[in-house]
Amino acid sequence: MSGNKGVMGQFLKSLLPKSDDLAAVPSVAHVAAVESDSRMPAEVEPSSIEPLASGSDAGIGQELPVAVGPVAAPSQLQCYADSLVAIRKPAGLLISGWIADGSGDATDAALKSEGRLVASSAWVFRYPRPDVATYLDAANDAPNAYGFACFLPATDVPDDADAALHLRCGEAEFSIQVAIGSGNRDAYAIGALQGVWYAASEQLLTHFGSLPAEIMTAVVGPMPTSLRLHVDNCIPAGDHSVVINGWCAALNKAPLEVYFVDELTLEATRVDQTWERTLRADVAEALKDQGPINRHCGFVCVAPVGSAESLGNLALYFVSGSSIGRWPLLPPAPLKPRPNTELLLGMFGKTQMHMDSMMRQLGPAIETALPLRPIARDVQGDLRWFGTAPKNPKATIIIPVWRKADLLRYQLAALSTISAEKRPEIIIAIDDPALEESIVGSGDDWLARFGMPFAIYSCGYNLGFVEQLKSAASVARGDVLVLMHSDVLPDQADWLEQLLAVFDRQPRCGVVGPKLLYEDGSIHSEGLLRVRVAPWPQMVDLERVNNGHPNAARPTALRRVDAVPSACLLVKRRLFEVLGGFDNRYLLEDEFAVADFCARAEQIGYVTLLQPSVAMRHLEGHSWDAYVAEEPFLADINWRHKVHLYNCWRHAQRLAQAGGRAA
Amino acid sequence: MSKRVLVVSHAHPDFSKGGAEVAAYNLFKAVPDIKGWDAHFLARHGIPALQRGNAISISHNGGNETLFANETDHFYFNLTQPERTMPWFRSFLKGVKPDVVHFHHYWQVGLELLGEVKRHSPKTAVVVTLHEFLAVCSQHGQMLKTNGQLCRKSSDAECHACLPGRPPRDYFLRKRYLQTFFHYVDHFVSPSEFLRERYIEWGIPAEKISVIENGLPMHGAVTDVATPAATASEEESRVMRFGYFGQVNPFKGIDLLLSAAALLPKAIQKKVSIEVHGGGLEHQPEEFRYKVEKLLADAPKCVRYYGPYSQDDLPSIMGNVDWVVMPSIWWENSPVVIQESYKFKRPLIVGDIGGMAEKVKHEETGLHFRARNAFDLARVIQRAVTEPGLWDRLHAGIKPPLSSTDCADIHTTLYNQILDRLQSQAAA
Repeated sequence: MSGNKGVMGQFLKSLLPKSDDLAAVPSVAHVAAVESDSRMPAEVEPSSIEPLASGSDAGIGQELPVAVGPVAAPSQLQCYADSLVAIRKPAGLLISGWIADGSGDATDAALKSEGRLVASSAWVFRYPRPDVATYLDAANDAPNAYGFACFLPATDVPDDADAALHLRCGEAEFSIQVAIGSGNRDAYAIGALQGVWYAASEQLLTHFGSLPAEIMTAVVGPMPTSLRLHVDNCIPAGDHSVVINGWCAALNKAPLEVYFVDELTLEATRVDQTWERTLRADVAEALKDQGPINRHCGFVCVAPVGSAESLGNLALYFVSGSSIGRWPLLPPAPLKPRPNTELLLGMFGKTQMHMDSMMRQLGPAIETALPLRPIARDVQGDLRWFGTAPKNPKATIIIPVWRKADLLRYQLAALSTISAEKRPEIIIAIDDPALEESIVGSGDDWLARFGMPFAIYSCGYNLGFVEQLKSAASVARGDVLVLMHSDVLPDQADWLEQLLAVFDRQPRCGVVGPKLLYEDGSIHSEGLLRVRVAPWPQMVDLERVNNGHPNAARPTALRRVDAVPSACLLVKRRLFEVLGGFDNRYLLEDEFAVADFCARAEQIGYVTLLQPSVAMRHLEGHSWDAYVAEEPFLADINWRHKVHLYNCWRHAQRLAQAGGRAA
Repeated sequence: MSKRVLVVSHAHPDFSKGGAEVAAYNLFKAVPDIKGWDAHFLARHGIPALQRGNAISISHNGGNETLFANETDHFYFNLTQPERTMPWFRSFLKGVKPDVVHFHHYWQVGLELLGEVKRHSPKTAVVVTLHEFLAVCSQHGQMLKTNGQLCRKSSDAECHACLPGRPPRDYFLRKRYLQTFFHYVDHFVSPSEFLRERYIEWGIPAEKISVIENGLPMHGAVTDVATPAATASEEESRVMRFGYFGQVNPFKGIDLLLSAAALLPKAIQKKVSIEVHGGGLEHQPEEFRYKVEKLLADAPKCVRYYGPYSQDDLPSIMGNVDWVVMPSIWWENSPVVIQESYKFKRPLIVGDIGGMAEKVKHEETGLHFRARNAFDLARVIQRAVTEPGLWDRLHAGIKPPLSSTDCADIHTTLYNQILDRLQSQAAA
């Protein structure tokens, strides 16, 4: 940032409203200055203040090493120098203070030490000092009082020297005694500038905008006391944005603009017009003694960042009138997709009043924050056969395995009842390197026990369901892919034959699935239908048809559905390849990925069918404890609901993009 | 050329006298009597001393008897060493070339062998005789709950409640898994209608199960031994003898019989002799052992404990009792004791449940009592002692049991039907 000399000042100035507007704008900082000015206690008699010892080592936030003297002339003029600070870059002296009963604005300043002109300047700017005015009004019958500040360029500023500050004020000229201190000049400069920042941000930016960025950013802040805020999280969402949430409550009605600033690139994004307000009853309760606080003072917003390097240089800037406040954002933790996704999901308000607009903010962020896994096309898997691979299989059954493989034994036993001449290619696709040894180690046992050849496919990575399926499909030889979770068991031996026959009878069929039953025989689903989510019509949910109903006297005719569950489905391999497999940006609920695929297939003329005459048992939830171990937040039903809502939102977005039928 | 059935048994009666292996062996021995059929017997054993090196099988008794070393687990009845057993069995099938493989029991045999037969040749018929409720019930296949109550139907939840060491889903998976292997079976044989119905409820299609009683070799049969009861009414002082035959274990109800004996009126106790023929008490749980020993110690004088007996002794000991009592507290299937009683024309007193109630016709070939109820058993014993003409009437109602030869005849008829069907399916 030190390389941005001058740029920061220009940038800050760009945030301010035009000068013409300032007069009409009540200043939050104006009030703040009164409230926060501890350097002007009311009981202090300005003219009685004794000069401070020069060379004080006071730092930021403490009294600066300023030497002040009594007013020299004219006698009715009162003047006080709050600070005098030597600045290295640009080299010179910054002097601030106040003047009362001057006949005009101070226009020239010069500093002399031991009779030698140290520095001079033709400009002195003034700014309101209501604190001084208030004090002197009571003491001296309403004098005209204002603050002043000036910068006197100088390359050779002596340390620890007494000096005289000469000021021209209208026709009058006068001087006061000051002392030039030594020490940490940057720190003194920051302190001095902060003293006048809220009263005169614009003027300071005009005259000191070329100060190094680190000084400027230190000057801009802290926040005005009329503003209360806190940033709870700043979460990277992908490489080029962050999600920020927190709360911001103004104690007065002053207009406020909030900018998210990438201080590395000095890109500013106004966020208060687009951020989503959230209910923060806790904040309103905590601040109730300080004034009326809007209960919806929480906020969530998404803001762009230039690059990963910017993540350590982010801040919120609050502009009110001619004042600018800065809230530095702590550098976000390194990208951790899962916790970040969890945090993002956590930003859903419990009441979900604004779910749709919340989703507009958070949905894209969650999409980009999702775990970054290897992509199927980038990994090479190994296919290991147990037994002899069937020749020219019509179908390839792909069984993805993650975390749990204990049902494979039952499933392979069931698959082994398919007669040898109709035997499909069977690929167990391991998506969990930790399971590979035990599964491969069981291969010979299963082959001997069930007498049915099968292959084990592994990439050595956890690719995730979608990518693993895509990867395994790349080695499949069947014209039809049968996706079958390991917790699915067929109810009848000819299940595959019947489902394959659907493709022969219905050439437009791209995907077909069986009826799924729970282990107690009740219906898990007879296909999936897209439905609108009642409170949020912009979301699309998936309804399991006849879920929970008894499986008695059900129609068995082949019928069209919007989608079928991911637990078991058949898809034409060519279609799968053309559409690039399933979408991998849904969270945990694979049904949405399949429904997404079915919708895309629909767009190019394919239909999805349910064959209810084929029933399969789906032992749903068998891997749930493994999921919870991996994603502990899922143990909370509210979190699961949030995951589901995200998927509903994304599904609706994808359908809208594809121009598909939503529900 | 004769057709060949390979009878597979979980044990050989030379080493174990259980009803299933005896029935299997009887069938094997009887099939060659049926024209156009011969048989081979393959029995599993778990006796290390019988093994020859690493060989899995050895011939036994010369001729067509083979023993094979094997173990299965007790939940899935799966081979513990499929990588060894399956190739061996495949090879064995090639050598024997059976037209029918008839499994008696699957416990200790290995369910995987069922599928291997079909992979060897889809035209080979697979028949399974069900001897217990093992697939239905993982509590020793007895449908007797761990709390002592009778179980009427398996369900995932109830099985879990009975055996909570496993979650309900395990019982669902077990059932599905076992049914997967049963898919390879062309036909099941049940020795009783009661057992058949339990398996139908469990999921085997009704048309795939037939009831065929176990055959009993009739050589040496004493079909009409002396009938001491016939003279009992004439000699009031004569003692009526009730015999218990079988293993002494918690399921056979010996404790119930001893309790009933103690409940008999003194006058009746003087007129009866209750004889216990059976061994194995020493192998039973200590609690049960203590209970039986105490009951025996406290039993009235009419009770006599004779201990184990051999099959050769049966004509003399069973022929010398008037009644056979079967007080089992579980369902039973098709107890060989009932067939043996019929062989010796002895009326039975049995509990009114399961295979016992089915095989013993109340008031025709014996009497029922309320199962598991010592008071009712005592009442029925008292009736047997006091009701004139009862023994004669029931004795007259007893028909000879199914002989091994007749049993083999029925079986080979079934085999032929199955083979015809398989041939038709293959042709289609």
